[in-house]
Amino acid sequence: MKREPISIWQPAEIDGEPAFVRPDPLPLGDHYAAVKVLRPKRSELPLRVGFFGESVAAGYLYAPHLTPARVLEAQLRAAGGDDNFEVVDLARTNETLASLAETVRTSLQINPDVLVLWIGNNWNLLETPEVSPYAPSAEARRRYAQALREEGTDGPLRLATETLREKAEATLDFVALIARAVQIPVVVVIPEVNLADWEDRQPPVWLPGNGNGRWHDLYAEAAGRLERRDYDGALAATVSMLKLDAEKCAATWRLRVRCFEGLGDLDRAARAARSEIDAAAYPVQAFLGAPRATTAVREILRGAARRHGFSAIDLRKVFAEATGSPLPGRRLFLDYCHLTSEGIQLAMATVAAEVLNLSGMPFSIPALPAPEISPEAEATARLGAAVHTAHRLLTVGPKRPILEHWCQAALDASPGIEEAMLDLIEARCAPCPAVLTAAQQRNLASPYRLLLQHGWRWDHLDAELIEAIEAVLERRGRPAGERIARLLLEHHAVSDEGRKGEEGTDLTEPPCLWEPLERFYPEVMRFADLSERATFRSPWPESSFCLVCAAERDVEIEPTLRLPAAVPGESRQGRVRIAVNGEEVGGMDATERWSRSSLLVPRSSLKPGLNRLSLRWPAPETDGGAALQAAVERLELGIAGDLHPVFGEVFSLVARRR
Amino acid sequence: MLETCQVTSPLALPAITHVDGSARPQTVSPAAAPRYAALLEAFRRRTGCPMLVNTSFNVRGEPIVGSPVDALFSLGSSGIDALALEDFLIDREAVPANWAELFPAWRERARSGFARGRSAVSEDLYTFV
Repeated sequence: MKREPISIWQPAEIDGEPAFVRPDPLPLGDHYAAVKVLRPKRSELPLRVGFFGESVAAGYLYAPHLTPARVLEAQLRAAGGDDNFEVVDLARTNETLASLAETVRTSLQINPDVLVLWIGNNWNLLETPEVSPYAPSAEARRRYAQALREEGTDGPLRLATETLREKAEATLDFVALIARAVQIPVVVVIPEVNLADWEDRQPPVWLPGNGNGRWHDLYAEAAGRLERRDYDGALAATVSMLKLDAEKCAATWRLRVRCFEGLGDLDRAARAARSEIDAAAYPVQAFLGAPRATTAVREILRGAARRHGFSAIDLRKVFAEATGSPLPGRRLFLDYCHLTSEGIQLAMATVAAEVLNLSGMPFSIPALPAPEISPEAEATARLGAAVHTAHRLLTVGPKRPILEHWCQAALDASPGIEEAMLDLIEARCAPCPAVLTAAQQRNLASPYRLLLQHGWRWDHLDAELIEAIEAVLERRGRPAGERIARLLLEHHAVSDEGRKGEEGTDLTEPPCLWEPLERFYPEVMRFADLSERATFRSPWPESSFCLVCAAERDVEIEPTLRLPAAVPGESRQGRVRIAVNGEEVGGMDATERWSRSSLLVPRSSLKPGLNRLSLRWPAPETDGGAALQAAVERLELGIAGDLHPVFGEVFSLVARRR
Repeated sequence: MLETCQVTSPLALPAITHVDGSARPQTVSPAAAPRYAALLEAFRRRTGCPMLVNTSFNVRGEPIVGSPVDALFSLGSSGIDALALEDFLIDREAVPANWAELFPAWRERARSGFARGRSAVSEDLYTFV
């Protein structure tokens, strides 16, 4: 029989024996396990576990130093004997259902005795990309529009859920068929996700009447009350928000999580967090979200386990029992779904117990070995968590505390990572890709080697992360502020007016977006098949930019902006307020037509280094029903349409020293 | 290119000579381009050849270099001996040995495929969805 590749492992012969060999790992990491060669089994023992799954299963942020597959193997050997078990790691970051099915099928060439599948977090846009108002296909947009016209936002959501269920069930049926054919058991790991420390701040879609304006007013009220620890007051505001957004906006649920946490009711906080995850669905969301298994995904996995007799391990139960809390957070999770070393150990211990049960071999469960990981690798994963969180998290409250937590945790694991932090900042501040910098060369030669998965390839300054690193280093008595300010000023200080060849710095360009995620997600992801926009658009009432200066002179701001009309022929007007570091310094009147204005920011409002310049937009007064109807009409014509208000649009935001 | 003419030269000039024996020369005056003219003169003194080939700056499969960063990527991932960037001359010897290994992985950004039938969304090492 002709041998086929198994994932990226290609058929080969080694010493006359069949084998499968993968290409060498890329120097900055890749999606797959670092194991070079896979071979068919030659003897009954060791019993071979085929391990499949997504980035959680691949040990994202820890790989290649620590992977769940290696932890599982160590645990199985500790409990069942060194010669009796081995785990073949076929997990991969960004795994999809189609490629999972193919990898499971082709893995039969190396004779697994048990299949372990740890899947479900990726079952979102990755599986149903066509159910989106931004799908490039005109036909897909028309289908979307029809569902939206007939059922409101429930329509596209239903379409996506049905499509996903069909694909996922077909894949799991296929796995069952394969497993039955070779008579091997299947273990399905049902994911749990970070409920306490990951958030999904999303704006609501267009709401009827002036619902969006009222929703954002209530949001501001709830957020303010939360800050003042008035949890009951904040909760009351969220009740009104739920009525407005029909319980379908993730941000409302996150506010409620924070309220319940404040009130000490963790069970209700956990329920609200699950509602948040379910509400954050790509067919109706604006900002880029994070992969987290929804209730529907968990049901599909449980249903397949029941139908096919798979063993099901529910990590929700495992983690709740281990921590005594229904609201898992940073102790077990590095980010939205990727686990800490403790989380990996807990999860794999449960899988190990199930595999041991299924093996029919005698075993005893001793104190299972803690994952073997060096302090440097642990610190690197934690710094990676800080970077990843900086890039992917949108919070309803301040974001800095969680960033500082991970920076601090990295330093606690291994203080030597300080230099890696400063190298990271140096690379961020450089006016070129990080890979061209001496800072990255130093990091590559260090024991804290950051890979692409730790966020090297990023176009933006990472303002919040820079500030978090500076704060934790200063607290440890390691003054870094001066060095960081120098790096920032060297390449990013706003330029002078009138200097030859310099007309100021446009803050709408990378690297100056303070929170690059606060855009419609196709604009963040740079889809190759969607043309890039020439303007910055804000689906949120405030947009922030990095203004770097020495603060020894005033800075002139010159925005060119408009308040875009949501329906053809609509007029809009209002005042755009401008704030620096949270303090308002002025504003400009704007309409639906482009206009330019200028404003002098006195040096007394600025600080040396990073300043946060914010545009605070007036809420659209458009009838949300009419705006949604306009979006439907565009989609019916095959033109992309926004389901969310665009508060403001910026052509350029030039800053120059005066 | 000023004009097309037949090559008659005591030097062997295969790099600029077409199969029909023609070439498209471009002349440089010290007044119009003093640095380039000085380069030509220096090259003549060293080699006896007062000519350099002016070719597009791109390596196979890549678009034409349009920025200093593009030029550095080309230097790192091709056999270029030296790169002149305004007042800087960067010799291959000065290039980190691992650039050739790092660049392909860095630059290869398989994108979306939103609805192209291939793996959807990003193959980037970030889990984006």
